[in-house]
Amino acid sequence: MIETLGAYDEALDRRPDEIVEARRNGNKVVGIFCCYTPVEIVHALGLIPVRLGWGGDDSLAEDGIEYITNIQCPYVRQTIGVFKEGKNPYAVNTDLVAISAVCLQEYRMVEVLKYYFGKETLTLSVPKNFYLPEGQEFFLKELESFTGKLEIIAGRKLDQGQLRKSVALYAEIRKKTAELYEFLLLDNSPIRWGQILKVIHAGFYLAPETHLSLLKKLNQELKAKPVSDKVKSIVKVRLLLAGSIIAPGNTKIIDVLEGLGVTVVADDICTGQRTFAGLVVKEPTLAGLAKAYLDRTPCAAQLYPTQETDKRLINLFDLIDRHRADAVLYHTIRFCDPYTFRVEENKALLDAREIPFLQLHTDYGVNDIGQLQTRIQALVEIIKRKKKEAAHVGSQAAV
Amino acid sequence: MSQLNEGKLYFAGVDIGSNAAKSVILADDRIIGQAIVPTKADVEKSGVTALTAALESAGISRDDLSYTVATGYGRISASYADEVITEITCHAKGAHYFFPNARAIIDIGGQDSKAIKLDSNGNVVDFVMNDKCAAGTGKFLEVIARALEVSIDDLSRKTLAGDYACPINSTCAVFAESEVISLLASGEKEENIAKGLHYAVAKRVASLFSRIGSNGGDRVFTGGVAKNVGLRSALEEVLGSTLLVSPVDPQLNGAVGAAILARSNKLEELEEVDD
Repeated sequence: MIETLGAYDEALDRRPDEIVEARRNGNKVVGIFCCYTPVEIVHALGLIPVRLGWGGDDSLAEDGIEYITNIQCPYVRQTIGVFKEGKNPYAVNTDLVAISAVCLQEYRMVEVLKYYFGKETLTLSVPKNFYLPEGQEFFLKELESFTGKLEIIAGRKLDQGQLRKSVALYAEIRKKTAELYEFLLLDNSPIRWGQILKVIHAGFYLAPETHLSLLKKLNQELKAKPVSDKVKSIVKVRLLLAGSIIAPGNTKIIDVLEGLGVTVVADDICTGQRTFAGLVVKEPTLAGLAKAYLDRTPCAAQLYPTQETDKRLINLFDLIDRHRADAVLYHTIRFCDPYTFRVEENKALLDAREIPFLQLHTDYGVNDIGQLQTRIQALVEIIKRKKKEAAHVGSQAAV
Repeated sequence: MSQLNEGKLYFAGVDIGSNAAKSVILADDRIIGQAIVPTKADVEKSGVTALTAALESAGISRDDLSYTVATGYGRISASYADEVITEITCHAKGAHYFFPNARAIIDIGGQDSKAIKLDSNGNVVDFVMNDKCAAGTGKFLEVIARALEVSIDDLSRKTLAGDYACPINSTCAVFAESEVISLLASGEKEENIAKGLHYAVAKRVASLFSRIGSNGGDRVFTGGVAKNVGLRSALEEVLGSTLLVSPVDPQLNGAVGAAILARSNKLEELEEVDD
């Protein structure tokens, strides 16, 4: 029982009313898509940032087919379905939709929100040559233009002092989130990966000050928990989950993994560990933000010219080493091309390091749960056998 | 005296697939009983029915069993089993039992197909499974046989009588059915359509093989569809290699592997107790 998780639930219950009240008082809500959109600027302008996007509901994803085809990403389809349904408080109360144009499908989704639902939208172009000086120069100009348009919405100019405070606030949130993931390094972590993901997703909606305060409390509570010294006789398998977005509401993979008793010790997804991975704002200015956001561990839609320089791969191998992952589960949502394109490359690179790799290609339907269970369980059986054999060889060598 | 020295031990493997529940009984490491029954809505009961029939054919009772392993998609409803293990691991052990030099398996069952790479001890090294649709599975062949109004066996035999493999563009059960009906309407021979269908499935399944890569050794064809001589012949041609099929019914391969794992896991447990 983790008490602070209950406090998160209560804060989330209160949040829609807080947002409605804030809007009544003249505040505006900016719904953000994609982690390349600098939330610090939105916050520093006195706007209320919420990160949008939902998953896990096949019925809402079906609703999206009215606007895009059924051979497009179910996350994008569902998010359109949520706006169509008009019940989600964060979708309903969004005054402006801001997106960084990284994924083409998400970009099209925002166009749909504009054309069919009359949402005001703002696009931040993210260069594909982000690792070159000209790409960074372009992005800074984009960010200046983006900020100028946000200033009109906010009715005020960006204050450097306020930007410094917002940068510091979000830096602290990222630091505390990273600390939360450190618990997964332990053999008997007091918190499960699925619970951490829920905390991060709560932060998409809560006021950042509330989220930070709860994060601090959560870390303190977990640190104070007595560490179980009971050594379990069963062989534990430690898995890393990488790949496509797991948006709020999409608990399918988490449920399957937890149902099988599998331990996830790290992730490489944009709604999890990659919300903070490699994102360090060294200078609280637009130039500092432009550099930090382009230098972050990238989305698979942002390609490095060589594998050696690809920070996503470097981050993946670093996570495997640091979190002692036995294997990589590579989750791809149907029609999510950026991550599906990378399957064979990732498998080959991991094979070369003798790290088992398993792709889980799925959507929000439930009819493949049995297949997913079989695949994951078979991978676990392979790893357990190898670990037992290694332990046996070790004990014989000791004799 | 420990159980290890008490004499003959009996082990059971039960493989509950989407179409059939299979069971195999081992006396030490020798197969003494087997059964295949249809899987019905009550999955747990189907497993018990298969196990009971296999016990009857072996002439022993459930009380004689030292250990039972359940596998297949119905393994989650197998309260009678001591352990559940995936069909991927079981198929590897089953193929290794019959063919110690087996290094790769193609398994085609009622609802999925898999390619499994194994080591010299029958352990799984890597595997891939088909997507969640029925393309390239026993279900696909069933749908097509129905469209052609023939039995699965006849569909298989017709393949061997075909002049050429009529191109079939879709391995989706739904689209292929309408494609087959169009071909029939245009006057194409059933034998050529059957051959084309089996080649379409063979190509799809062969792509699974290419994804796991080769590590030499024998290739084994398991699962209920391994009884289909037409598909086996098409697969051998597409792969350019011989496929071995177990001397007992290949549909039992998963249950054989489950029984072998029941034996090895029980013996390991007993040895630990003895130590």
